[in-house]
Parts: sequence; structure tokens; C-alpha cells
Amino acid sequence: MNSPEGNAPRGFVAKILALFVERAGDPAPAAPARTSALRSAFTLRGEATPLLAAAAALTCVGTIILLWAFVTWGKEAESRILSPVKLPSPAETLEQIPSLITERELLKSTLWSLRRIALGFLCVVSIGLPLGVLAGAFAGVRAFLTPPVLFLRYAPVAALLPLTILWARGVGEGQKVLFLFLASIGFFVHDVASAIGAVEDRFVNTAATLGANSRQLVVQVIFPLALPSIVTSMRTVLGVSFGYIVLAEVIAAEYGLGYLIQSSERRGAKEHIYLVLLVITSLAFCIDRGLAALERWLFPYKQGSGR
Amino acid sequence: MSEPRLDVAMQRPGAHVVGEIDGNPVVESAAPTENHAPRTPALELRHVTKIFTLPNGKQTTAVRDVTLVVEDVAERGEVVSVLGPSGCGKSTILNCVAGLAPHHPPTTGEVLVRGEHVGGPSASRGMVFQAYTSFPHLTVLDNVAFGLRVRGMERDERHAKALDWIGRVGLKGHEHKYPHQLSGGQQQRVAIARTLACRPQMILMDEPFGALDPATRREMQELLLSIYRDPAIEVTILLVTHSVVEAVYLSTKIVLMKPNPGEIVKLWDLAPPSHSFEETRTQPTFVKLVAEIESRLRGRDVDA
Repeated sequence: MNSPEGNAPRGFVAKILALFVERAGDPAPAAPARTSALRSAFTLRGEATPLLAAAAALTCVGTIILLWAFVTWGKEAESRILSPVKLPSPAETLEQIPSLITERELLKSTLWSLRRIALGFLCVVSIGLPLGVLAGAFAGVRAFLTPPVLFLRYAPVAALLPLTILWARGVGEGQKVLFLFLASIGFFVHDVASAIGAVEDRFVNTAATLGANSRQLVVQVIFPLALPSIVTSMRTVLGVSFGYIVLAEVIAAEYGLGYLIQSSERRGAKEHIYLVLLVITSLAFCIDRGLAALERWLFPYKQGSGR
Repeated sequence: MSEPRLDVAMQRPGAHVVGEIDGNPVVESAAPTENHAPRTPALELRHVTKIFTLPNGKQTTAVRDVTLVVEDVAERGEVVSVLGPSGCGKSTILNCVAGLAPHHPPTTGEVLVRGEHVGGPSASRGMVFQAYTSFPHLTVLDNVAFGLRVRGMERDERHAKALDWIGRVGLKGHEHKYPHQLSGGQQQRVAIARTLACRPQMILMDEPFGALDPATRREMQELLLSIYRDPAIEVTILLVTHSVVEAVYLSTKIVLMKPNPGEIVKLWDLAPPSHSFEETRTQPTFVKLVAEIESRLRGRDVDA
């Protein structure tokens, strides 16, 4: 890369190598814009234009749908590569959307799941935030909290489910919230403590030489500076909560997206499983993007500066 | 740890550095009468030694027996520059004066600012670091008003005072911006205004302009000069720098240190700069002093 033009090896191999070696930032020779955008997207550490990125993503989705249609092609079950019991065709799946919304009450189940996630999240934040801040600020608190936090971080989440049913005496709403809480609290306390600990000494020292006392240091400097990382951690908690609530609802629930999947497997249209999966992932994605936008609005200084 | 410090204080009230022999500063004790010293020294380091214990259990002496007196001059401030190769304990000295752990407190010896023992960080000793320390979540206005806010000043009053300091460091019109929208030089102006707003007795600067480009660095030096020339501010600036030219141009006192262990090698008392940088830097005395300090920093003694 450092060698001048004249020393560059010639020939086909060299051209291929050059394709990989060239950086996106390098001044491109006078080439059509479309070609260079395409080339940049497949250059090592190069960048893709938004249009190109969208095209690549759509190509992937299109390929999956085509494959799906191919293996489920045919009117009779015998003429298909995969039987309709295992995989319904794209058309059959689309046809089941109305029944999912009306008969299976998709909206009601979605709201129940969201409610459980919100309650669990609220518990995690209201208990985890103060604990995490204290653990990040005081080594003694950190040492004290380390065993339970470690336990919860490494305990297999699915194994906590029977315990929560035992503790909450059944599979009611309390059990769902308790499960979400136990599944996330260890990670959240750990993340908050790390974020607090990662606030650089120079900010704390500067504030101290401006006359701030310990309480002011925590409230006015350390906590606000750690907040961007803490919010990122909240985003993660919400994201994994989606996965966990479906797990809890699959085991036992009266409403909820996980319940829809589980009951569709036993009775009702199998197509609903795929549709609900799409609903869950789209919902989780939209919430995450919304929170990311909120983060950019709240903490415009976070990106770019490298912190 | 406090007993030896008290002993030193009682044995040598108002110790003065009068010169140096074989690279060691000579200390002369003044008679313990207040008549001799009408003004309390702005800064006094009395036999400051700092020994750190490394993680592997070994001990290392960061600074050994550093004694330094900066007199309080009426109607203007002082700029004391500390020069020396890395590891000579410049930052330890600075942090000891600031009262910041782990450098503070010194293992033995005492640090006095205007006669008062330094017990910890305080708004009377503001610090400006090389790395930018503007609080990213606060506007320029709230950054500069930070020190006033933590001491409980009302919003309107502290904003009025902060605006005044923002104007004095040349940031008028930027008060509602956030630090990430400012250049490096502007961020250091925020740091200086924020420190000055607390009306400190001392400003401690650790390589404050080290990350700036040469032109911005020159602007900041002029800002520093205007600050300590201002009789209304009257602040002592302790400046750690790697630039000999900067030190010789700005300082009224230069402290040259050597490493392993950190000790004061030589002190120079200079007249405050009266001409512009362009005029000053060609003056023979200026050129000679810069050459002398630079050769001493390289380890050769030209005028021994």
C-alpha cells in the first residue's frame, strides 16, 4: 500500500490485490461514480452508499423468499420439496394475516407482551440504576455486589424459569416480570458500574478543583458523563427482554406473542408462527431504532468524538 | 505523616531558595518575624518528597526534597514554569499543589498556598489539563458557571458572571454551544474561563497547550499573559510545559528539574514580558537563556 505506483506488481493478480488493498479514502481515478461505489462496498474496510446497502439487503431478502417459494412450490403436498406441515408457502402465509389479527387477537397479545417488557424494564432500571451507580463509585459496594451479579450474568436464563414459577406461585404476571428482572438485572448493574467507572479521572479531578464535593461529583459530573453508556445498556436490556418474554410466554401464558407461537404450534394455523416471529423482530428493531434516535438527540456529543 | 510536616514548618518558617550549588538549591531560613515578609508567599513547597509504592511492591521516589518559594507580587500575577524531562516529577509537584490523589499528600514536606496548608482539591486552586476537560453535557455557559453552581450561586447571577468570563477569554457568541462543537483552542479557553470564574489564587496548568497547533498555541500564550497582567485577577500560574521558548517567554520564574529522583536543578527569576513575542524572541538574553535551558535539558552544561 505504501509502495509508489511504479513499484506495484503488474498483472491480473496485482489488479485483484489492488481491489482489496485500495482504501475508500484514497483518491479514486476518474471512474464512473456507480462503479467506484460498488467497488468501495467490496473493498477491505471500504464503505457502502445507503442506496447500495439497501440494494444488498433487499437482494438477501429476495433470495430467501425465492428459496422459500422454490421449496414450497406446488399445489399438492406430495409435489413439494418441503411438506406444508413443515413450511407453508409465502402465499399461504400471507393469507393467514387476517385470521392472526382477528381470531388470534394479535394486537391484544402484542400489548400484553409490551406491558410485561415495560414492567420488567422499569424494575430493572429502578433497582439496577442506584445499585450500579453505587457499585461504580465505591469499590466496597462493588465487591459486595459482585457475587450475585456474577451469578446472574452466568446463570442460564432458561433455568431461571422454573424457579420464577415456584417463587411467584404460578405463571401470572408477577412471574413474567420477575423472570425478566432476574434475566437482565445482573447485566444492567454490571454495565452501569462499568460506565460509572469508565468516566475519566480528568473530568472528576477538574470538577474537584472547581470546588465540587463528593455528592456534586457523582450527581453533576460522573453520572451525566456515564449516562450515554447507561442508556445504551438500557437499549440492550429492552432488546434481550423481547427474547426473554417470548421464552416465558412459550412456557405458559394466557396472552402474549410467545403464547401465540406456542399455541399455533399445537393448534391453529402454523403460518402464524412465522408471522408472529416477523412481528417480534420488527417490533424489537423499531423500538431499538427509536431509542437509538433518542440517544443521538439526547447525547449529540457521543459519536464522532470517539468516546 | 503530618508530624514531620509540622516539624519542618516550625523549624523553617519562611524558607527561601537563594541560589544553587552543584545543582542543588540552597535554602536560607528567614528570621521568624512577620515584619520581614509583608506579604505571605503565593506558593511555598517545603522539602516536598513523594515516594510511590508500585503495584509490585517496589518504591520509587517521584520527587525528593523540593523546596520552592513563589513570592506574591503586588498588582500582577506570576507565571512559574516547571521544565524538565519526563519522569522528573513535574506533574507530581503540580498535583501536590492541586491536592489531587495519588500525588497528594506528599510523603514528607509541606505545600502552602498563601500561607495555608493544602489539604485537598479546592476551587482556590484551579487546574487546566492538556486533555480537554469541558463537560460534554453542558453548554459553554454552564461549563464556565460550573464552579459557581457547586458553591450554590443563583442561576442568574452565575450566568451573568460566566458570560463576563466568556467574553474575557474571547468566546463571546459561543456561550450556547456544546464542547464538541468547539475547536481545541476554544475548549482550552473554556477551561481557563471556568477556572478563572472561581477567582482562584492559583491556576495549575499541566501542558495546557500541548495538543494545540502552533498558531493557536501562540494565541493562548497571549491570553495567559493578559490574564496575569490584569491587576483585577492577580493569580499565580504554575505551568508545566515541554516548550522552553514558551516557558522563557511567559514566565517570571522558571524551575528546571531533573529525573530519578525528581529534584530542582536550577531556578531563574525573570522580568515579566514587556514586548511582543516577535520582538522578545530575537533578544540576545532571551536566545541565550533558551539555549542554556535546552542544553541543560539535553544533559550538557554550557555555562558551568
